Amino acid sequence: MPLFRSTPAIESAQAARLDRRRFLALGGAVAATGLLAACGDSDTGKGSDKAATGPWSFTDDRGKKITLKKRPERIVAQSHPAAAMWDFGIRPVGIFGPQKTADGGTSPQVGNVDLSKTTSVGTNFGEFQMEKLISLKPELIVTIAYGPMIWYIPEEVIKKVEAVAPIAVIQLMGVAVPDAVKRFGELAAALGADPGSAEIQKAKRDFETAAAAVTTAAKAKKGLSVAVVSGTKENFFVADPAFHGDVKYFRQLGLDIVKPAKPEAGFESLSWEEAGRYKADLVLEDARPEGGLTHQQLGAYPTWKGSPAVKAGQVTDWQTETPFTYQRFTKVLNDLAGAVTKARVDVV
Amino acid sequence: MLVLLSLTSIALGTKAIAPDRVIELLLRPDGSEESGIIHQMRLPRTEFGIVVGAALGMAGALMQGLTRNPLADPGLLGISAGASLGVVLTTGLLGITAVHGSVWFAFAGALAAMALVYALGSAGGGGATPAKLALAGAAVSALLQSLVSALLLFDAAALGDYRFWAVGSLTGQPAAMLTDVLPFIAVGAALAATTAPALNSLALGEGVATALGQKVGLVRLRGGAAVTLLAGGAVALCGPIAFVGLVIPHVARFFTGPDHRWILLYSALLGPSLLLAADIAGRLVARPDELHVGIVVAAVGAPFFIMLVRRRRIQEL
Repeated sequence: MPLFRSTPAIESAQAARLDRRRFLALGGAVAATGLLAACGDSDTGKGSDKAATGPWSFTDDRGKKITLKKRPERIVAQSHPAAAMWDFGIRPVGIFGPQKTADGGTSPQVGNVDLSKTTSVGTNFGEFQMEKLISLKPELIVTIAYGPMIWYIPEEVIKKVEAVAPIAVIQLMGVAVPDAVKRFGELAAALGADPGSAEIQKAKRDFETAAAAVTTAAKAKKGLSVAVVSGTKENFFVADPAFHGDVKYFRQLGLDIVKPAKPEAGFESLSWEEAGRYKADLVLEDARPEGGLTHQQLGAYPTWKGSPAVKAGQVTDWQTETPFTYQRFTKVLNDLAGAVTKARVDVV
Repeated sequence: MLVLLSLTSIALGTKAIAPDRVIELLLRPDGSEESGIIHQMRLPRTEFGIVVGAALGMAGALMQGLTRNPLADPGLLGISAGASLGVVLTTGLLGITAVHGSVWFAFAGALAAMALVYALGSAGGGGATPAKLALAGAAVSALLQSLVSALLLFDAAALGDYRFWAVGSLTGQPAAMLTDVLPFIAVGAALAATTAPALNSLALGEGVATALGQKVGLVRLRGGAAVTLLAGGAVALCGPIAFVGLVIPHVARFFTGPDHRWILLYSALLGPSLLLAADIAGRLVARPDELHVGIVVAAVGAPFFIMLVRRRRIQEL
């Protein structure tokens, strides 16, 4: 609801938690710009110079061509692309975005990144410690985007950041997991990584095996309906499979995902009274520790407690914070296959 | 009118349930989802609306009478700002994320802010005069709000809770909290009732009030305590819902004339009426989503207030 929009500072911090409000507020803009069309474009970055010397270029998902005198070595990246490129063997010198959980542990959002081997230049949305960023002498800054929304680099600071180094943006809105991983791989390859290495190929095979397990499980459960949801004190949200790369992929793998009738930039927002509007046999519920209600808190709402999937004990985690990499996502797929195999199809 | 609105509030929601079914479920709850919606969602929010609306209405009437300022509302004495700080501290610094944690901290924040305002306002010669209290309230509010902003900048998780609370909603707290906070509001209401007659003589001016045998300082103290309990409790439960405390006493005065005893009583009835009407409207305009009551009250309250001011000059108090 754009009605709820508050100050930029507040909005930014919200978005830091990948807040649904942000997605919602984004709705109109996404529809208007039709930026999605750009995501499918085949990559021109592949043609970049593989050698460490000589001119280097990469065209990002905004269609922006970045040209440098030589291949960039010093990368500063947002948590998600940092995790994605890390698993391809690229080691960013700096990182921005979520790195720690509230209790001080490593955030799932940074994946396998070893935080002791990289320097934080900010954690909140739009927060850049400019002196630190400049002292790292970055040659390229990498982030992701959901539609027109450049992740963690809001308009107010993009000029300042761009003055330090060019920004490469990878689009994730509506991009299924394997397509996104492939795209991260292309960027990593352009930066000197070898996606064909034995280690990465093995990770890819594990990922594909897990994906096949989901398909097999889905086939064995004909008629199983799955809803992907999230709840806050304010609202109950039903995820739009066309928006979220992971949910889209689950659908491609053969799961029958409930599609909300009127999603706005990623979610249909419902009042709690209406939380039972979409029925499903199996429910994937937002597992993020911040910004949403826990399973226990959800139990206070009769429309949740009384819903068929909850009564049948068929609720499992939606791992929204897992970065799109072969290595990290294999577990998500295996867990999903397990949940589908265990699920009964006659709940609704 | 209040009874009618209460019934409407139970009957109408984002999910359509037929009226005869509503009555049936009210009398005989079964285990169905609709029964759950009525008993665990609509009934509690209606009760919240009644209690909080009455508390805010009375607090507003009392504030305007005490300060003899037609634009006074409970926020003037730093209550909202104090409660805000309490909410942010709960999740931000102490890391309490339990559902009811914030209510008591908000309440304590409101009480502490009010105490600070009184301490500042009564310092110096002349004791706690309305003007000094208002100044102290504004200063303390500004201080507390900047503390709130500072804390929010550092903690994104606290922001989530705060943001929801600050909008103002009848559904933010579990139903059990109402029974916990109700005694405080009840004591506040009793204090308010005993203060009202004295406000009538206070309206004639401090000198006349003293001449009539009122201990002005004592009246202000008792009234202040009542406002704190009423508004503090309401704000802790439902967030700083604006305009109820400001507009309702004016509407009440329209019906009753200047007698504060009647103003207080009418405010206690009109406050919940406005809150429930706004809440019902919020459920109906954005189906299947809903708007929170704080937003609707502000949207309805502002033009209404302007109309009121334009129609007849605000009475001097």
